[in-house]
Amino acid sequence: MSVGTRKLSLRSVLMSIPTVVWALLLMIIFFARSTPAFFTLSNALNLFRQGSILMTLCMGVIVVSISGGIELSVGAVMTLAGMVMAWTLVNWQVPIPVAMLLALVVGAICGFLNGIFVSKMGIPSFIATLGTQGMTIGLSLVINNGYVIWGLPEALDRIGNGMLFGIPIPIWISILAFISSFVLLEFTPFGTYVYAIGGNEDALKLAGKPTWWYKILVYAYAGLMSGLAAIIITSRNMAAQPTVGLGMEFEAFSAVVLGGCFVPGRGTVIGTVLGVLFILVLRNGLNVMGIPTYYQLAIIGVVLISAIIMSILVERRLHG
Amino acid sequence: MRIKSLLLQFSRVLALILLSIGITALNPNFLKTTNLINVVRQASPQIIMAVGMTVVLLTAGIDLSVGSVMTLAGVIAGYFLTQTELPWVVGLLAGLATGVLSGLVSGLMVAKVKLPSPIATYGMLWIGKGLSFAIMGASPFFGFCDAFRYMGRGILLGIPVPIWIMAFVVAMVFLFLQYTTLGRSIYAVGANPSAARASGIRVDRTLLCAYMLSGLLAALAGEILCARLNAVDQDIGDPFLLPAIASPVMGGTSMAGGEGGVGGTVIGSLIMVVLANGMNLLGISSLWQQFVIGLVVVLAVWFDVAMQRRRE
Amino acid sequence: MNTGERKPILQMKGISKAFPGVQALDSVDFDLYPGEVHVLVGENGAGKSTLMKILAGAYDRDAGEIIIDGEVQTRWGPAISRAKGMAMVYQEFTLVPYRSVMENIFLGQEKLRGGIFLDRAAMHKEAYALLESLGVPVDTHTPVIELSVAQQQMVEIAKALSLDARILVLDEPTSALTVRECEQLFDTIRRLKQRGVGIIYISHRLEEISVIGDRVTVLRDGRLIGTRQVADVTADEIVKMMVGREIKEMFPRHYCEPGEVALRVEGLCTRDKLRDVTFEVRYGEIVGLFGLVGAGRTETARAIFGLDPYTAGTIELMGKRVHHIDPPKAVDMGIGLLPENRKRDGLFPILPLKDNIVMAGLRKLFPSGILSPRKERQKAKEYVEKLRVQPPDLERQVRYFSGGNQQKIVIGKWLAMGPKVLIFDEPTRGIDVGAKAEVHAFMDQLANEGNAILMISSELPEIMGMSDRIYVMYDGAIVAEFPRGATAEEIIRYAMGVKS
Repeated sequence: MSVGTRKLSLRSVLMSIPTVVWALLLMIIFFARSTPAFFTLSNALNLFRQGSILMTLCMGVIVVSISGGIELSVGAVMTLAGMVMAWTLVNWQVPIPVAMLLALVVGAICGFLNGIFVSKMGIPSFIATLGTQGMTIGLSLVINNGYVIWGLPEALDRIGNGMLFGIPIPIWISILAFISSFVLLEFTPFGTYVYAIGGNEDALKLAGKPTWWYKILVYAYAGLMSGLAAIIITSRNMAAQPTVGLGMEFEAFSAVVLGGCFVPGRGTVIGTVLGVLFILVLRNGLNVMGIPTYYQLAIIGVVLISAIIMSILVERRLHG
Repeated sequence: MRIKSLLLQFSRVLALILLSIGITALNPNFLKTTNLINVVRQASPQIIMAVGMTVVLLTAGIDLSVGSVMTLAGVIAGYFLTQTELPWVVGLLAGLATGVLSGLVSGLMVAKVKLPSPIATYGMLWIGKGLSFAIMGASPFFGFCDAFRYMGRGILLGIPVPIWIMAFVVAMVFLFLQYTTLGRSIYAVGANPSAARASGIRVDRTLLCAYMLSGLLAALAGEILCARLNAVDQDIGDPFLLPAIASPVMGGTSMAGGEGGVGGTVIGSLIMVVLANGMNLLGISSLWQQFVIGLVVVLAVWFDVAMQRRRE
Repeated sequence: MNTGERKPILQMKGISKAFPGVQALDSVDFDLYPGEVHVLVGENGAGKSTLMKILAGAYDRDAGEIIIDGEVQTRWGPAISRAKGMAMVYQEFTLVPYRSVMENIFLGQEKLRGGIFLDRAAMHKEAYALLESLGVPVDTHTPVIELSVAQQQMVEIAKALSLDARILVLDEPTSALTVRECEQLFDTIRRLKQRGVGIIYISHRLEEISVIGDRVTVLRDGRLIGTRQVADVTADEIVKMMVGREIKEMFPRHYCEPGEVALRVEGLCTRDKLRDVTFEVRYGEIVGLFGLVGAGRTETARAIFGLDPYTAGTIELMGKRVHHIDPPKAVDMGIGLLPENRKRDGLFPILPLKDNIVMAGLRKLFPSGILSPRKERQKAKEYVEKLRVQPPDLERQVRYFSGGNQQKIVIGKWLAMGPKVLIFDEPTRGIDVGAKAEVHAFMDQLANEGNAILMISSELPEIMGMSDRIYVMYDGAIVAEFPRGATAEEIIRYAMGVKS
């Protein structure tokens, strides 16, 4: 009765996120009905391009969440990576590829630090990442005395606002992130270990594997994704702001939970994508409807939290 | 055992004293009475929040929403003060009620829905932010009446009102924790939740009380802050979260629950406050302070974790 | 199964192990042949799990040899025992709940394609084949949490097999299984025997021993009593070997005429364990509840006290029926429960002695909600002196007290609350002889003062010596009631599932 892996992934994904799918569909219908401008191709493209940053961040956060951790520093790490990237471009005139690599490295280092805090020092992940968030925001402020960094080389604009085969490059980057996490979690033993650490770390330890090291790698990977997101946002804005990442960790966290990661050891990359879509559609829809930004945050916050609580309750009812 | 904990507490006081001496050596202005009073006055909101956080930490939980509750309370009070003709007391009480309500919601999520406290209160954090935004938008409320501002700027018998309030809060919470059965339950629930339950303690009620108290004190701190600034803006409460966690932990209140108290929190808060003031006096840019606070939180929790591990 | 010509896979010779205060194993011999089921029997505390932990490398032995395939093992530890083919299937499974059967079987030893990617197809094939050979064809894609307990057990066994286990230890494997699932397990075991796997089967269920066992070894008080061929020994002989010591201990029970019924339980059922539990306890008596592992004793206590929900049945306290009981209600009504796991459920290790003592009586002692330190010290001192807690330091953190004193502190906690009904769950587990005697004396005193006491224990001498009446539990139900003076053999037989 051996069947291929495809069937399992789809089945488990469907089983774990019925709520989000229906809610998403309902939302899309609602917005399409109330505002004609919503259901157009250009709006959709806009949505995805704006959402590429969140998507990339979430591809890192999902890995941490599955392993049982809470990652609150992704926004801040992205900010720092962006600041470093911009600073080196403007002040040291490094070639763009080098600057992009630097962003990735900064992200990975911050993530690695998180990993050490959680894995080796035993600090609960929410505190560790909260502390890292404070530290990286602090560093972001220090780098340019709190000011935005302007004057990035023109060539960078081709990445942030350019196209490849008719699709904006930021979307390509988020697709890259998606493929990376998907392959990692579904097709490599490391992915199995991440799920095992979240589900029953002792089982993996008994099998003789160094769970402490895997945990560090998990956070480093999330940091890497933050660095990747920094590339997108810096090249799109053609500037680096020390406050740009604020609050993204909440959306990332919500997307991941909505996507089916209610407890450690569960959740899928595809589910996360759907969770991100939920948030993107919600944001975009509210925008297109013309609702002022102030109310947006309130609505988004309340919707997300109630959705999270409902999902958790439904989940508990199903699985006890 | 007792000696060890006494020694530890003593070493914290010592650290505070040494820090103060060190800063005075570099800048004699530190030890001037006016500076010290100023420092403590500015620190009053922070200390009040730290006291509230202490109570939650004692139950082995955490309240990540205190920063945004602080802001929200200020927003609500500010709304009643500037957007309505109602007496200022209404604004004051409404702000406090906000804190209690948010604590109630957090507490229910933790006690009844059994969400882990970091997740429940993180959710509360964003609910608070959303509500603040919805009520106040981008234009800050400002220009409060004198009676309200007295809370932040008044001086009574030579000592600023915020310090009086802070002292009162510290004393009340201390008495509550030491001399009431509910206070004792808080320690019990944190020390061993399953034994607490098996001993007939009303665990849910205790948790609700802890989070409501934390919310109330965060609201109070927010109102004092806004009274002093004579304005309330979005996110003014955000920088207060990390110090509110670091202070109790540095003061000996363990994140594992069941040990610690208000006295240690005051010492821990003073250490943080003196550190910040010292950095200011030494001309260290305030931009570095964010970094330092983040680092301090990590180190303080690490120390706590290491101490707990050594116990086993 | 004739073990004549074959060589044993495993030989344990002269194994001894002492813990502070108790000799857990005293020169025990045990061996295992390939393809045989060797049943290991003994009361709680007889030394079975210690012996197995030594075999698994979790404990170090004080003396004795471990011989695998005729070679004396100079080094031994968890990794080595695994390498030599030892696998233990515990009662708490080491499975990752939401991952598939295949992933759990291959956890840590995944097969790869191209060196990096999982070869799912190959692993599924092999996993399925493994399970099929055990007689349990399960869809290997199923998340393990969706399987029944019996199937999960099979996955654990398959996991062990995939590691080429040659010695399989099954610890009370049938305690959570239905009759049909037991048969399935036995079928699997027979297949394992055919593959030459040696199985150590720990159980106290007499019927199973004759069905599945080839040889049986009885341990008592850390000593080897005897090893027999199952075919050559009767149930009575096994029971006798398990029990056959003289009850040398004196118990301070002075029997008194009991009063009214204090606690009556009828038809109590829980979702997972209890089936129709009915008994009563009167004021002034000590009622013993005896049973071996998995019998349902603690479940009964927890259900009565409100810690766990029950699905059917009634609880009557002092004549009044109680609905929706929970611990605060139970405490306010005057019931106290001294838990089996006192560190986890009975004490507050980091809190001082005086805090612990008044903890259950907070509402009773301080009805206004204001806590008077003077009254607290007074009460604490009263019980510390009464129970002779050493050292009588009210401020000392409870985790620094010895096991015996900790138990006395737990008793003090409940006495300070002024109970009428007390449930003691394993009152003397893990405490030294002196404290044991003291605890028994208190229980006697409490009963004679008019309290109703339910004593739950798996220690036969204690049950026989202290109880006025004895209920025996097996598999979630009460199977027998005995008056004082019943014989050990009678009690054990019912506890092991023999009917009549």
